[in-house]
Amino acid sequence: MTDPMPAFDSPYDEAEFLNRLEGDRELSDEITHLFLDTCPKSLAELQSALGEGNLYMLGRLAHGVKGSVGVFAAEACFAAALALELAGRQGNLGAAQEAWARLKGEMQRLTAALDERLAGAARCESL
Amino acid sequence: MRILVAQDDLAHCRVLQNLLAKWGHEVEAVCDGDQAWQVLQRPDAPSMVVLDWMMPGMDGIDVCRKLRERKRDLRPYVILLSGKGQKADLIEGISDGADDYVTKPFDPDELRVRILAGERILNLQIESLTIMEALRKQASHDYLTGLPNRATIMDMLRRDFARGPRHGQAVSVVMADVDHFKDINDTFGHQAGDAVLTGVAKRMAVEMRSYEIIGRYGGEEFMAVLSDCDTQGAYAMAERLRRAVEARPFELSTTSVPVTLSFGVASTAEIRSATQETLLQLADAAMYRAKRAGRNRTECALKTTGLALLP
Repeated sequence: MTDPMPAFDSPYDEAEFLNRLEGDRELSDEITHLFLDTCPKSLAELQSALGEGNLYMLGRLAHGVKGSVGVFAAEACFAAALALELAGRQGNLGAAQEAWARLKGEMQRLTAALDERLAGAARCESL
Repeated sequence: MRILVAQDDLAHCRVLQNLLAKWGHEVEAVCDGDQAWQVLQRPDAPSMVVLDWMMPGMDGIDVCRKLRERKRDLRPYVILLSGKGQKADLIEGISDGADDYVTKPFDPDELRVRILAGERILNLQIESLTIMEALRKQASHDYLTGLPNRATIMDMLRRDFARGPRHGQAVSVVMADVDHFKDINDTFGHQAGDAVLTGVAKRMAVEMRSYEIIGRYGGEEFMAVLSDCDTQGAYAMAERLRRAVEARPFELSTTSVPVTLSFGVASTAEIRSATQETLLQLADAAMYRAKRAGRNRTECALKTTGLALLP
């Protein structure tokens, strides 16, 4: 049996994601749902912390997002969240704004891919 | 093994719950440091915790520090599971009290073997604590009867003397000696003698209240220390012990042996200037008076010539 190949431009690594869950597809679907459900709130909190200039809070929130996307082996998203976390810790507003823009984009790509993943899983189940 | 997972990130929390359960562990999960600390304070707390560093309320490092401050023989084994992946973070985490450090995102195989290593360390800890406890018991208890030994009851007496008079509390001592014990040994053999001593100890021990202590003073002699107890109370206790032993004979493999004891009681309630040594001498003298008066009875120090021992 071969590992599922990640799509060339996929924002996350499906094989590594599954590997981190010891191949448990049911759990992978549950985690995906959980992530997609909580994602809008996480982004709204980040936006709000940045808007208030609360860089300490921004760093903490970005740390949490970094942990969540880490499960999916979503490298670009992880890197953007890490950059935002560091900018927050260092109190660097300019770097934080730049990292936030990157993270928003990467999160959009990731959530879209994960939505598609769940839709695919649902299609398979209905067959 | 029972493991506590403390992670504020729901996804990681769920992943950990699932994997740990799959590896055969019993998992309890909480989502912040305050809740983790509450669980870890319970007497039945899990023996291992997989702890996130950054959490709302108390963070993981706070929990580690508090655990280290706690004076308990067996602390839970802490694996700090954190997204902070710098070498300095690992050094800080372990210096502040974590036993191991794993970075997120984690590799399940790595986490599984680290838990295994933690389990081995916990088992070693439990084993050495069990041995220490057995040695402690061996050093403080009599090997034959299982009662506290002479050193332990003397310690207890010293402690009561240090505390009792300051609070106006009397300390009483009861000395007891098995009647005609030599005859039991000579007639039925030393094994039977040992069985009688063990049986006598058991019968008397069940009569004692939790805050009182009775031990084997030596040979066929026993001694009880009664805190906050006057002469009447000590006399009543001695009589209770005497009756408990006298009540029925001891059934040995080949025969049935009736056994009695003679008791002597002394209390600081009436002999206020008594030192520990004097009190013991007085109780001992009272006990010998009980022997001379026909055995299987209790005598109090004040009626004895032992009073002459007082300074």
